[in-house]
Amino acid sequence: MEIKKVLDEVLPEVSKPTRYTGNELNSVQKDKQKVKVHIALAFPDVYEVGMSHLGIKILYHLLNEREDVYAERVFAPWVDFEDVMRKRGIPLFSLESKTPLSEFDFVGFSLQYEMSYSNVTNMLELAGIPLFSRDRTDRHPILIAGGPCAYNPEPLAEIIDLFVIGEAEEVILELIDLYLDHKKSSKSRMDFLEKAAGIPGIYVPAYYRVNYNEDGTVKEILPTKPGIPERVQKRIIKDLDRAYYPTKLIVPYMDIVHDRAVLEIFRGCTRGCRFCQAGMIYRPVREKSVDKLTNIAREMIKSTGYEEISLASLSTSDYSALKQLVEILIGEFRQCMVGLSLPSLRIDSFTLDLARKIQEIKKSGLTFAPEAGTQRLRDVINKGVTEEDLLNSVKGAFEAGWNTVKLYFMIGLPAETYVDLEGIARLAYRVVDAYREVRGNTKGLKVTVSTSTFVPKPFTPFQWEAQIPLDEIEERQRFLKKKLKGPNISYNWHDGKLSFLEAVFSRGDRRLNLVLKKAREKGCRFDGWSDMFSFSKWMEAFREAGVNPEFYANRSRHEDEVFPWEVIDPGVERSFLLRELKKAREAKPTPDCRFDRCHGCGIMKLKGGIFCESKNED
Amino acid sequence: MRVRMKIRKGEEVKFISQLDLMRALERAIRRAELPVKFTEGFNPRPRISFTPALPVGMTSDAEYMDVEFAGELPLDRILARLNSCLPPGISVLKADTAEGKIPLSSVNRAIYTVVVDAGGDATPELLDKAIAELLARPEITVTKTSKGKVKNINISPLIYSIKITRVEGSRAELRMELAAGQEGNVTPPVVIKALLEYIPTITVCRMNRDELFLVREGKRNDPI
Ligand code: SF4
Repeated sequence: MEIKKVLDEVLPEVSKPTRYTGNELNSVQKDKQKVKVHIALAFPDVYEVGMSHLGIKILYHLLNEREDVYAERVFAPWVDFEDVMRKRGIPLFSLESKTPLSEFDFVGFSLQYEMSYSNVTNMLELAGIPLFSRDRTDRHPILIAGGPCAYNPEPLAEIIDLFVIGEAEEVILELIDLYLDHKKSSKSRMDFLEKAAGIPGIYVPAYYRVNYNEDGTVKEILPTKPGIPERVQKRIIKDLDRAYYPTKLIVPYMDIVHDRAVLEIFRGCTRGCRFCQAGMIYRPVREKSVDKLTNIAREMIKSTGYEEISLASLSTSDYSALKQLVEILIGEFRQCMVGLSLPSLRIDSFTLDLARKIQEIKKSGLTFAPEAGTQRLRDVINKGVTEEDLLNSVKGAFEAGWNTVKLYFMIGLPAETYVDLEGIARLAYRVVDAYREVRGNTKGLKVTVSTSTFVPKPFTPFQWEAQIPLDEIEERQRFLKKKLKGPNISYNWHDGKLSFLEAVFSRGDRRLNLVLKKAREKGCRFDGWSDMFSFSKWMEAFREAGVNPEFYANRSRHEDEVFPWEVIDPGVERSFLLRELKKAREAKPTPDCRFDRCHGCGIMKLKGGIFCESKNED
Repeated sequence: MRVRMKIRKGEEVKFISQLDLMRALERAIRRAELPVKFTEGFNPRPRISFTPALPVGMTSDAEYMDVEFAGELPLDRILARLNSCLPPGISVLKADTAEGKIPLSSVNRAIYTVVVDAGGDATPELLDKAIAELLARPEITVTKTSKGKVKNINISPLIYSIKITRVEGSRAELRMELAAGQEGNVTPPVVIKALLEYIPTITVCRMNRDELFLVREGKRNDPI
């Protein structure tokens, strides 16, 4: 089948056809016959979501720098096009050369959120690639996966052939070199996978056996062959200034979620919020220099023509030379009308000043994330922000002319009581009061309270904790709904059922692979899209697989329990996480080690952190 | 200085929307480092205007845009710089001053080339007959949905001519002259739909807008 021809015929009938056509500026065209390794970078969501993701951009351009490699992109087809594909027998294909996925050497999935797993399985089905690793042969592509969800690879351990743990820029090239050697020999796929398992940062689940206790918990995870490491340590890039960063970014035609030039300013975070996985797994903190960033920004605008640059990191305000950087960038781009945006900015008097300079926030409204409604609970989760801080910042913002405020909270945090929920509502009303104090009335004010439900994540101090039961989630949402009524306040919340499933998969084990298969058979996909999500289908899938989801989501774990994800070593030590859990139970905060002493999280062994070296562990 | 440009939209980009095309051109102008003028106000935008939208899925050799530049620039330099910065499938065919030319919003007629496959046992002769019958009708009613409302419109007065210009097997190349723009608009896919009443097996292989212009008092005025 000539896919290009069929597309001409069917695309006029499909919504947003540009999702499937490619040909964007700076996308890479190569002759696939002339390269040695053909790799598809797969993002299990639609084009406009996947193209907004930084990781895939970095890998795409990095791999294509090599003459012997051709990296292409593929996204999940939206349901209308999926129907057409199934009807016409169009196999899932790459965007650049329209090659069926099954013909690639590698297919690499980016795992950003658990609820995209059903899209991974659906994409494999559409590609005609057998779901389970054991059913694939030498003629099938090798399936890779990476991203934050790879830190607990077990729910996909029978589907994915190898996981890349941590930052992929170096290890992916090592893997390709290994593959080039392998191609010269006539050895089998398993032989390649075994060798790959020897590369630091690569986890090949087929070479590990899981033994369970009688109560269903994991007893041990053991390598099945000599030479396979007991634990796989994550990879990091030590010096970001010397790391590859793409400047000839692809410029999509259609409107995507984040359509701008992305400038990554640093990696890692030391604030130590106890619920936050990113804050633990991306340590240590490493920054790019102002010089380097200015150069990258200049080149990016030159080669993309974007009208906006966005700084990317876990917490923009923590970049040590933020003011200097912002001033340089504003000066540099004023002439050609390129705007600057600072997402994930913690609002305080200093950043408010910056925000005013770039006028960014006026467009989007102010965002605050106190996460919990009382000081006690904020101390439990180690969110180092006080009510007074928040109200002062809000007042400053109101004085400067802003009138839209978004407040983000989590419900179901460990040890949460109705007093804490009450606190959420109280805080919202205090924001309204602050506005009245500044402006004399509440005209024009809009306060939006959003709650998500706490999902305990691997490699956080709360990995031992339970998620509250689903009916309790919904009860607490109803409580807040009642409390948060008023002309200036609106309340919205995440679907509790989705958070429940997220909790199952984020701390799941290998037995969930079968659930994913069942869910595929029932047609689950695009679970993150509320009109596509079917909770009852998922529940049937659990039932048929003989798996109790509550075992994963709603069970608090014993201190000594062995976790399925502990075959991975994220650098941060279990002993540190347990210490933090105990402090949480006493509502004792741990200050940011950037300004305090080192708390001995364990990441020092990986080297490279900008604060770690100057400190002695306690 | 205001510059008028004639733009080609090729196969590679035929599925992108008018908005996408505009954005792509704006970004190309920035890459070309051409000093475009911006609108005033809180959210400054480059001063660029376009001809009415082309249906998605169609290529064109006759899209037009006006760009306002700060200061005087040689036209050939603008043309060369911009073309070196445009993505595959988009190019500037011509550039000239916009002064003294018709406003872009005033265009009212377009010429298209449409390659169709008559399909099944339908011969080009049959197609010829169908076209003649269609054109002879005083009223051709088609339904149109805009803003959620279904409307019946008579497209007969919007069709100026349809001719078969080439035949190859079951394939035929049609030249259509149709109303386009704010005064009245009909596009080739709508005309083909009307033809399906006579020959249900017709499929479209290729569509291109060749020309776009203004006819006033029987006289043709081209944008450039
Ligand atoms: S090793 Fe110490 S200084 Fe470095 S991130 Fe961990 S706690 Fe902070």
